[in-house]
Amino acid sequence: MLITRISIKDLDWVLLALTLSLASIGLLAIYSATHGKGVSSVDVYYIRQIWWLAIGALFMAFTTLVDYRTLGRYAYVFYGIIVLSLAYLLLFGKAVSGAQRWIELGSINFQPSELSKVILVLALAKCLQDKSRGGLLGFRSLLLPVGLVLLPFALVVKQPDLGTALLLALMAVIMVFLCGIKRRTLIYMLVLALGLTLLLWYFMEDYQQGRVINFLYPNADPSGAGYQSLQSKIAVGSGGITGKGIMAGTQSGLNFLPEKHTDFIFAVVAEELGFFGSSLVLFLYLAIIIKGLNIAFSARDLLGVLMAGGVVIMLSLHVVLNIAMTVGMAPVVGIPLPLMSYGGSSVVTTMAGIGLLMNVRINKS
Amino acid sequence: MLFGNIETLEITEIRKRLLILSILVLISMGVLFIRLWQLQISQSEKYRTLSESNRIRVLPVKSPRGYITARNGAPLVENRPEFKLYLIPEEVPDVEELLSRMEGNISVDMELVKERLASSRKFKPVLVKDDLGRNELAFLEEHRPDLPGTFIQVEPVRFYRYGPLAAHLLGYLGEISEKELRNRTRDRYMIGDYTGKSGLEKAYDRELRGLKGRKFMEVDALGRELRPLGNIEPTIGNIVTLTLDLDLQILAEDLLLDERGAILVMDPRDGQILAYVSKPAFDPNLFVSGLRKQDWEELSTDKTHPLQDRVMQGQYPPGSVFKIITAVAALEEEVVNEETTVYCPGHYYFGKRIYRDWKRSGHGVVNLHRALVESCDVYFYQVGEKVGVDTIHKYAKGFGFGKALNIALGRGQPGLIPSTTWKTEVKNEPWFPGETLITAIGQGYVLVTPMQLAIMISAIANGGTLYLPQFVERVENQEGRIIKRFKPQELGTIPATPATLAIIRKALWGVVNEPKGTGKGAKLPWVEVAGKTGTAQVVRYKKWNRKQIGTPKELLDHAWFVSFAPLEEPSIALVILIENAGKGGSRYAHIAKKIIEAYLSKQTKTGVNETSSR
Repeated sequence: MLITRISIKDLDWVLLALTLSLASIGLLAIYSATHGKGVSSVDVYYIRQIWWLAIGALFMAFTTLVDYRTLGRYAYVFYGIIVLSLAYLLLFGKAVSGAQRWIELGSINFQPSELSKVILVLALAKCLQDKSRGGLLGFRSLLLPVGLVLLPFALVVKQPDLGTALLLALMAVIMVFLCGIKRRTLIYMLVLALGLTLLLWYFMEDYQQGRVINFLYPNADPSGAGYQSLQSKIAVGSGGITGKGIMAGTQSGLNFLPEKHTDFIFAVVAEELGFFGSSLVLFLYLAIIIKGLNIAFSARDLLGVLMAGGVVIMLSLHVVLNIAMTVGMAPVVGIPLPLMSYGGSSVVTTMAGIGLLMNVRINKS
Repeated sequence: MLFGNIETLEITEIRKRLLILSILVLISMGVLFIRLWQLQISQSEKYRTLSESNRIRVLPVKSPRGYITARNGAPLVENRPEFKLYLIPEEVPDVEELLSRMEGNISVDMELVKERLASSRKFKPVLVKDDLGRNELAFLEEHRPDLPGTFIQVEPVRFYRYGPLAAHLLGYLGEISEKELRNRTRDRYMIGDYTGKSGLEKAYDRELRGLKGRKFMEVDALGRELRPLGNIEPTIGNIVTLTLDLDLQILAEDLLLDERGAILVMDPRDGQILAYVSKPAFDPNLFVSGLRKQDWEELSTDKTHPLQDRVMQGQYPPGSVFKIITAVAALEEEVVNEETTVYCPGHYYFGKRIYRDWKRSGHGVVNLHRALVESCDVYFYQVGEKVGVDTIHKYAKGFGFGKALNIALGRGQPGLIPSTTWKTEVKNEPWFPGETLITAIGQGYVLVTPMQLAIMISAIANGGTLYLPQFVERVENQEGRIIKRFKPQELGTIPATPATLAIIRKALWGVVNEPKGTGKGAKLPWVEVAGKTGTAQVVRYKKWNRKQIGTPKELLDHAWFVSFAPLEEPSIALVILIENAGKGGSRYAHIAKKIIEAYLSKQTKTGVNETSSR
């Protein structure tokens, strides 16, 4: 059946409530981070975010209501579309701050690399399900999955957007592990990964190498590249237990904190709402992830496990890496915080992912 | 069933790994939780001190934009000081009372100020009023002791010395949009900055912008400014010197009076633009610190479209000016020669229709020279019919028509040169032979921009080279060091042999200098002027009742006049367009005369300098 017939009680209301709570805290933080510069255009950010959340809800409805097995059947079609749009971007895209990440649809800007994350989950789930029929994955049955990842990976690296590309690769690797892999193949893969890492380092842009070095020695250059990391830590730390109050954060208010409404939104929350706020956010994410794991656990078939598992992997990686970056435990790589960071592509991707989770839950029996 | 079992088996296996995944996630979240505890509880004091000792606030200092000057160095666009009144709410005992005391003496938009106050951050200055007038400044100076917590700041603001003069070329500024901000993060732009939005202000924004300065302020944890700690001065933007001749520009603007239209003056020797007029225009000064809503509404709803650049973006049928192209095509394809004659009774029967000449009594027996001089339609109906629309199309393309001109100033409109393939592809209709006739006289589907005509007439003047229009002569920094100097750029060569060109030029001379010429108004006693008139019908295929009284203004004919001089060594070429003039181009030839006269008489005075400075 194409569209799942569901009743109200089939919906996962807890998951929806968690999603909404995080989005609301995000809106508050975006408002706080961008309001009141005496400029009219600034206040637009949180309104735009509300619109994106609404669009995200549509995507979520789609990924909830179309049976995931049907979605799996069309996974390669979605995959083809997203790879084509990534390729289009490379060929015809306008450079935005040195990188071609945006597709313009009228006045709306869209980042296909974001959406490629959830589509990769779909395609990989489908592909791994097909390949692992006999049990553990061997070297040969890994060829197609690896190809599936490498194509968007290469296109995103070329943009260049190393953060997103690495995230795609990491997601895929964990999904493959989840599906199961032969021990000998595992060793080969590790050697290959090491080689690829060295190769990647060689192809990195200067600023990307700088970021990695800067991560290893953050104090080397506190005013330059290490600045963001340090200022973000100060923002989080100075928030203390109860925070400085909404819109009273000095770190974000006095512009010490760059990218505060996008990648560093968690720092705004931590500074203004303190440990209470930041740990609340952490627990809300944890709750979503645990719900997701639960759904994966009780899925009826391999495809369902891999889809739900893939979404959980995607969400966990984003949350962990973004917050780790904000608290100075990971390099500044430009990974958004799902549902909270300002940015439509990320919101839509995350909500589509959560829709998938609900889908697998609804169709578990 | 068997297959189902395998899957179920595998799922139990996979659940084990899911468990591992769950544990990994829990561990990483736990680590983050501990880290948050560490930062926000254990070490919170340390970071609080660090945040408080984040005492140096770096404030950007606006850099004055570079000047835009005319070719002789006279500034067209500069900066003037703008005085802004700010208040710091925390330092004012009673904000309401203070504002009410100002009321009457300073025109403050109370609503706006209250809005800004509501969304302000602690100890951050709030803008009360920008662009303070002389009287307002005097009042504030006088009452300074009674107005604690307020201060006046001076900022450079863009000033267009001549108001709407060359407004479409110079362009205007606007607050940087979210999209531009994202596209240009490397340019150190910030929210609230102003940037070039159109014209040269946009095209040369990078040059004009300058480099922001920085002011280091000691602030306390609340963000209150304590004392200045020094600053880095902003760097003023580069000076962009145009090829524009200011006197000529002023003259051209005046000559256009209140008409809608365009005048473009080009140096045919290198494509340098000497004057660039598009009317009606707007005053870019309105935009410099935020266009008022009311002004924007006025500008954007004005039916005469003052924001539209008619030179590059206006597309019009060229009318008889296009006969030059038809003539070149006919000569090159040897359909006619100088001796070929046609009898013009004032009309021409073709198919089942009658095609009229503008002169109802007819021109009699005409050859190519007379046909151009007197702008005989019937001659070109017949010649066009023989040449064919696709050949006309080929030659028009060779002159650069039907193609968008893409230059720093922006992308111009392409105009339109019809062909049989175009008609079938776009209109999905066959080409009707009658349409060739009206194409030959520049009517029907043919559309051109004034810029395209200027490039064409310059090429005819200079012996065949199509030059890219050049607006900027050089860019130099404030110390006078030249950063860029621009050279003429060729677009190509026109598809006409010297012999053909000689016939055309002789005819264009005749248009102005022979007794029956349609452009006699441009005749000068001391220099040989050449030109061509054009009258473009706005409504296609309309019957010969255009002159009847009561035709609405927007349906009246457009008038064209293209011209160059001196005939032998041309140094000026120009295009005049009058929208909905209702009269022929010949009625506007005198404008060309005045511009040519002014330019050439100045050149003979300073002739030596002018040529050597190139």
